[in-house]
Amino acid sequence: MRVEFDEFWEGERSRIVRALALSIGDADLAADAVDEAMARAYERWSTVGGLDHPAGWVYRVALNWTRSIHRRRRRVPPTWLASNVAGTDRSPMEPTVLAALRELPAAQRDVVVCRLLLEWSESDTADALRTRPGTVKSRLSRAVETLAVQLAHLDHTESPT
Amino acid sequence: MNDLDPTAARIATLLDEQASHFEVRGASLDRVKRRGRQRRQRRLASVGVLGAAASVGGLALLVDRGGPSTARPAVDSTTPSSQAPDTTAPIGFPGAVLEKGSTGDAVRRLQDRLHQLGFDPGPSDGAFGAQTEQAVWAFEGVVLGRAWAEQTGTVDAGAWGALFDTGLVVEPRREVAGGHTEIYLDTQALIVFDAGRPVLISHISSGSGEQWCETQIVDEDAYGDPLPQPEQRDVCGVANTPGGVFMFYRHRTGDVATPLGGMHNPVFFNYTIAVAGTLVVPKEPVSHGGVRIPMAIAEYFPTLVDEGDLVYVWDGGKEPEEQTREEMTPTFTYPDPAATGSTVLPPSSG
Repeated sequence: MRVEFDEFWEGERSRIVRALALSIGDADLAADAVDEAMARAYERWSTVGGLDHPAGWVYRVALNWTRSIHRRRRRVPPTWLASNVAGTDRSPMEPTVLAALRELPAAQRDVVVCRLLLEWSESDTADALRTRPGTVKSRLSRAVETLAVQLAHLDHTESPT
Repeated sequence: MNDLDPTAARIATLLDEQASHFEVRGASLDRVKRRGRQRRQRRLASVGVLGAAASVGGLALLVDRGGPSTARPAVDSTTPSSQAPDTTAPIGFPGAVLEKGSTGDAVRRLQDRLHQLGFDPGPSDGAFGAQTEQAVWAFEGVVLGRAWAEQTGTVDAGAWGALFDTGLVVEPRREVAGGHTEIYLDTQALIVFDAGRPVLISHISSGSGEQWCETQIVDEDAYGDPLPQPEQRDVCGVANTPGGVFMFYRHRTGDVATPLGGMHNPVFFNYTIAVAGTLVVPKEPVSHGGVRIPMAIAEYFPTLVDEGDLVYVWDGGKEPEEQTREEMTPTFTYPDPAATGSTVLPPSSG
């Protein structure tokens, strides 16, 4: 069950960075935060590596770290991936998806990325976000309801492949 | 994904598509590991100064609260399990109330347990002295929730039971991933947290809230540069320690003489207000506004905190974040309205 740190890093680092970037709207900060959390995980890997779900630990530590950074830089608003969206010519991010995400309360956004993007179970998500599975469930359903309305126009399930 | 309804699954696909377009900035595994090793060394070094080897096991136990799942005994590879102290086992109350002057095995177990939790009662020598009393005040404030005026400095059966409660974990009021410090003026206690676990819990003596006036001999200007000649000034001030959110911004090593008295190893966080060691740290708030800690703790306190760490001060009323800028600003000294003005002293050597 227990994985070595290197393997964990390989498998999880970019997934968690992507998820956190979507949650906080800042890809650079997300990368810094996950690396900080990864350093802390390595620092005490004997403990963290033995957890049921080390990735959840890393996500939470990284998320908390971004919060303390945000508090320190009170005046700088999140960039909401602006720099990462513009200028990438190969298949840019769909702006309305980001806009819809941004409109969600932060707590719902965390649940959305943990459940839908990282595909964590309800209980793993609840552990990572320090909340109860029931809360995860209700936040997800509210978020999905909102997103479904806002993203209805993107529903091209029969798009050419 | 199997437990998602179709709408959620569709949104998941959309998100996945979006996220896959991300350029994730590359990072070096080696660099992250190096940082992890440095953190571990720093952590162990700071645990080392806390004294008793027993505290290593104790802190490792508390580390586990960072984990998302239910409590499990933490096993830190850096700590041979043979070091795990027997103080974790429930221990019955020795019978007599422990207080300053008590000696013996029960005092030693009290001291071991306090160390384990992050308090610093001084060496575990079985003698209940001044530093142990200060640690007990902090314990009463932080764990039993007693305001400073209600603290007794003694350990009776109730306190003993709370102390050895195996589920006892001191939680931060603010979740900060890195290091941060919380100061509670109503209980006169300070806690340094690292990643949410207490590294040090200390008794403090903060500002008395009183107005004072005195004659000072000043030989440094506001920037710490020497004045050409020392000046004698009659000044007044209000000894308050404001609540709010601050950041440690500077520390000075050694004894720093200020017009208001000596400070040992001060770490400043709000203009002239620092956490600093002084010889006198009574139960009551008596300082001129600074946060006094016992000298023995001040010896290593600067190694536990980093410049840039957040400092939350609860004044017993508002939450730190609710304090206005004005409320957070200390009362600076002002010339004594009753005095005739500052005097330049004659050079000391004739």
